Amino acid sequence: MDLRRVKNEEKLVLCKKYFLAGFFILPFLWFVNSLWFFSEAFWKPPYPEQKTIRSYVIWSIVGTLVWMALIVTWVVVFQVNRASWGITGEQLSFIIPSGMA
Amino acid sequence: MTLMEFFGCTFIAFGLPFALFIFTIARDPMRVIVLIASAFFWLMSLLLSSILWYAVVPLRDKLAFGLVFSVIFQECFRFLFYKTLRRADEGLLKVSLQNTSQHVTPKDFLNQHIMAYVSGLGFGVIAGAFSIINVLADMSGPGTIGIMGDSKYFFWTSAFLTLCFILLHTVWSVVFFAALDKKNYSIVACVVATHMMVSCLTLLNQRSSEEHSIVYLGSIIPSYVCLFVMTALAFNAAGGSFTNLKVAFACRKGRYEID
Amino acid sequence: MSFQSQNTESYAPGGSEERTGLMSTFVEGSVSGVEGGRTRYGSVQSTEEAVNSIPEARIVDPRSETATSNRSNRNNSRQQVPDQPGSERMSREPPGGTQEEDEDEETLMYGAKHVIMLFIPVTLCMVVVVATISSITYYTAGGVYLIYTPFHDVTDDTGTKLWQSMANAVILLCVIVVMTVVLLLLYKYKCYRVINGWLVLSSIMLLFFFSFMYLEQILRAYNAPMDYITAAIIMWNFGVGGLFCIHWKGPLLLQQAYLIMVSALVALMFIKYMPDWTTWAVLGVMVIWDLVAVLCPKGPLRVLVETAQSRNEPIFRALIYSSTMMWPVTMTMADDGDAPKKKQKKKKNLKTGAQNSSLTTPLEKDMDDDDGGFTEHVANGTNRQHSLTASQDSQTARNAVQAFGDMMQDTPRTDRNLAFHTKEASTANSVSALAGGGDAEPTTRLDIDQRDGAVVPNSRSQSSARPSQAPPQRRALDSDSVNQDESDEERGVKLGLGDFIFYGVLVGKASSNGDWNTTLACFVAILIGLCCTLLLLAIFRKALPALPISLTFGLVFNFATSSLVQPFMDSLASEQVYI
Repeated sequence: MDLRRVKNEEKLVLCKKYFLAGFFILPFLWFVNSLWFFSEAFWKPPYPEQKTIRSYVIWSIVGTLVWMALIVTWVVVFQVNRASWGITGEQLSFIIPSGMA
Repeated sequence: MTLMEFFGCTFIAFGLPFALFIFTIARDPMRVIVLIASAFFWLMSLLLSSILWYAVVPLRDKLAFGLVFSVIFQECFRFLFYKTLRRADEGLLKVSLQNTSQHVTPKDFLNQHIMAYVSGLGFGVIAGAFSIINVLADMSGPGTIGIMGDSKYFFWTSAFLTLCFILLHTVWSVVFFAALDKKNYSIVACVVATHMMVSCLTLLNQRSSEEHSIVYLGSIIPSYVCLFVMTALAFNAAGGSFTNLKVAFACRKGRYEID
Repeated sequence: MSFQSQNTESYAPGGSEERTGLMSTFVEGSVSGVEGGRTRYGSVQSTEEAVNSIPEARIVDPRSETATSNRSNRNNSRQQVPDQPGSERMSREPPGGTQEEDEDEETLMYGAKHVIMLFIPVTLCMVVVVATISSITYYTAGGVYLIYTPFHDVTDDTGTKLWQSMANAVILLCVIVVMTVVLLLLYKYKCYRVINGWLVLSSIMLLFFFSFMYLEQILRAYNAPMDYITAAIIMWNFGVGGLFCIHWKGPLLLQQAYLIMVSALVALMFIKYMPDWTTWAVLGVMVIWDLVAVLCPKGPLRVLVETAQSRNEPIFRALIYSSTMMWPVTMTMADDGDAPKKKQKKKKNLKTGAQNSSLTTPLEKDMDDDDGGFTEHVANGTNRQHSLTASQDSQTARNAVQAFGDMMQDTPRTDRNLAFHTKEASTANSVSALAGGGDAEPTTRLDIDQRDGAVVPNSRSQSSARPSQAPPQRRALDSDSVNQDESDEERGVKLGLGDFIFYGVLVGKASSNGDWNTTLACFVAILIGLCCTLLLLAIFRKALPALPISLTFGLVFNFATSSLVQPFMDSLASEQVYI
């Protein structure tokens, strides 16, 4: 897909779909959306759909950041407490490292 | 420690060639192709010399034999590559005239030294990579050197010699191609002779041991002296002079390009 | 499993909007050459030559007339699609030495850029495979094998090894042949749903299951703890993102990255689940199979490519990596509304174009600003256009447009490359100049649009409703049909994912011995083979098998290096002797 050859209405639809899809625990799509449409939303000379695209992009960025924060927090909490949680920590573990506490 | 040594030696051996590649070659598809093609030619020369070394069973543990013939094969393939390049020139010139946008401007072919330089770098990089890459892989651990009575400067010397050979191949090609263009066969012979000499000097490295690390200097110093001389020759062959040198150090736009 | 150059598509007579689009690029190419100034005199002249010599031949070419006569019946023109593009093309070629020389020159212009555009992904794929193989032992540990390779006795007997690996390879080949034929039949009878379902299912398996295994192995290799929640989120995002990008719409770069990743994963799977010697046998067999499948007149892949061409649609993009060239033309689509300045210029040009009702004048006018010295050339070059487009007879005009489009598709590479770094202004000018010139014969354009309207009704008629803004042919590309969307991504060189996979298998297998020299030799050999194949592609201009040359080189260098060169280099390296 080359955005430069896509009609504006279609860009909007695309951006919207990506944004909506992101709600299904898909922060990666939000991330892609925000990168992909960033220049469309902020750097391109204005066109009618731009405002909506911009809001989608902004919310995608916000969503990405929130998810990033959530995941980082969770990973930190998990890594710190993995050993002390005992059996729960072990059950949660996808990989139990060998030779480490 | 081993990992640090690995990175250190990698950067010693390939830092400068990598910079050369990034700044002068990577942006230009044609040069990248020529680089890889010349690497392929070097590979074929190595293959031939290996076959010879392998076939002559009684001399297999005499490295000097394999080395001499390998040098000869390499120079032959350098000549072959020269021939191929000059033959392809016509076509390449057409391409470059058509595709002005491609950064392959006619200067690449009007200035023959650029392609000589690129092919030399290709030769050098593949030769250097072949001689050190397995050493580097061993270097990254586990384990280290110096236990079995080897010199502790083993990796260090390998890295510096590799760097020297990569650069030497580059300048050799420039000198060699320019000499062939001018039909100045004494210079061609000089290139072959220096290649032979430097390679034979590295035979000295076999004598190094834990106590005799000083032996390495016997190969490294002449190699770098040779590199210096050949660089001067190449610079001269490519039309350089002291005045050019002074101009080159003046800041101006786009001075990282070779043109 | 084959190369396909965009050029081959020129044999499909449908899709004239694309041709006219190409035409605009072509003219732009010549403009950019002039813009370059005096230093690039050669380029100007050569483009001039292209303009001068080729349309002449093409326009008198009877084919354009047949195309016109077929316009009322689009199906006819479809049936006209040749079975053998090469021969058809030759027969279309008017006799004459100069023409052939031109062809020769064109072939050389295939452009190093394309080669590099394939080098990078191939290199990346190989790097992923090699890095994985050398850091994760899981993929080299045997024990579990594909059901297609039933013979995997652990023996030292060379004879047993030989027949077992050959038998495995033949079984695997049969599976591949059957799969290909099934795919071909499904495609031939237009069971797109089934194909898509198949592709989606297999990519789901790859993206979720194989990458899950990959993640697990990476984490194990680096002994990194991770919890199920994070892993699940990562996998879910990775997989769905991949499905979006591969099967729907996504950024080109991401799509390419996913395709490379997927092929690397498949290559790793092949390396893991095939017995040691079977892998080599399979690689050897694939060389032959690829040759047969692509080059034989009835080879399945060839038939596939030709069917796709005759239907004028892209082959399944989940199976093909395409290195898209970005056309500057696209930046100047009117409804992009990129730069107000451009629009202004455009308007001006539209006016002049309408006034003069010819192409030549606006072009020349723009030229005059930059360098007057070359107007002559340009005028010469465009005069032909002028004489054609200025004619009031829409029939003739259409002929010209079509012939020009055809001509363009035969020489797109040069011009594409020329157009690559065009200054935006000149691009805008030339496009708008075309639009302006197009105003002279609105009937023609409407005609074309309506004709295409039969295929994609809505968007076309919409676009033809406002013809003065932009060349509607360009606008047609905006339509929401996937076909049209992709049509521009079809340009550039394409490499089947199978090629990536088998390159990866070869290099990965070479590196699994732990000898880096072999890996390096294979890598260089494959790249050189790819170079040669691209050169041949430029010469023959039809879909070519990408595996044979590369894999042959790779196999030769693999075995030669590991058995002959490696001992030599090892003794040299351990004694620190440099050659």
